[in-house]
Amino acid sequence: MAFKPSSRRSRQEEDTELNLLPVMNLMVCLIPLLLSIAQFTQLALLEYLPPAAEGGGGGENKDNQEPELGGGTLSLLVNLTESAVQVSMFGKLELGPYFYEIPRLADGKYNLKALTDSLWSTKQREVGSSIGLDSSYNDILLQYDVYPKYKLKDGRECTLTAMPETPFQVVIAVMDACKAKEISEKEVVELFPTITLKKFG
Amino acid sequence: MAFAPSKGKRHLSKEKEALSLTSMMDMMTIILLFLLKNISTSGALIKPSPYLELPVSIRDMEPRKEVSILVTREGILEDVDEGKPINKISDRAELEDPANTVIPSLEKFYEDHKEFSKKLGQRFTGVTTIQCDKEISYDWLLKVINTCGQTEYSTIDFLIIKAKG
Repeated sequence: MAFKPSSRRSRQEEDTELNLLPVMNLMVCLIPLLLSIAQFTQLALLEYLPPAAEGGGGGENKDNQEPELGGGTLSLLVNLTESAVQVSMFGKLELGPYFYEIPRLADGKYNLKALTDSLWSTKQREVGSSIGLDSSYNDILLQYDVYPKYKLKDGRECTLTAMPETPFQVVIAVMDACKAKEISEKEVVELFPTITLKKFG
Repeated sequence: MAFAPSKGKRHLSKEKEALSLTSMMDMMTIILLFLLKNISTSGALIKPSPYLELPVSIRDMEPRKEVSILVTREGILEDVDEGKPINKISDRAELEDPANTVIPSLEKFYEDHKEFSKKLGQRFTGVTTIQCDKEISYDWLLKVINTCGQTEYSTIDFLIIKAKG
């Protein structure tokens, strides 16, 4: 039969606390390593493809010819002026359904939300839904890029012009506004992602 | 008056106090988890130059390593090392010159680079990465783009800071 431990025993019980020193050594090695490769600001690329020839521009139309209404090309032009953002379709330059201005906000910035919303309306009204898919060969990635096809040949294209002193950040923000619209948290619709930058006037 | 310590305390064993690492371990674990979440290898491909301020955009295309230039408010550089410009390509005067639609020194830089790539037997991709300060004027931007187009660099990748959210 088992006897209880003697009440007179003087043997000290060893401390069984976990030794954290090796774990701390590991932390001291890992943390500086991860800190050196940590990326607190994420970088990305904005890919821009200049037009193939200066005369081509964003479409086949020359500057002095107005494209036909309901014809094959939209000829969307977004122009950043001192007081407003001007949007023109089918080469129209008179105020009307195909040419309008979005004035600047009270703080002096361009109203990019209104621009995105108006381009979305334009996309739905003039360009319509995709009628299929088209593809082009990407020489850099050595693969085919697939994109939606529309009834208008330049249904994904937009020309952007601005005053010479317009800062680059503003141009980037307008390009982002023309590229896509966020309908909801999960749904983002394409607007006019192929943007050509041209001289003002 | 001070009293002598009691003779009964002679055999009192003093416990050695060890440093408690538990709280330090908690802190280290949290920092480690945070850094593991932020780990990214693509950031090592391109380092943003401290010589300029990049614009912010919603794009999410991953950076790739190509021939790159820096367009700053003082001119066009090839690179910056420890805050000092390396190989200044074009100065401010050349960019501001209204007679220039194409920047001659930048054109020469790209042509030289193209020749050098051909000599090395590398496939010419026609891609260039441009780090452009966010305050650079549209006029300068168009000149740089025209120069790239003239030298057959048909794809321009502007380096931007990804906007959060």
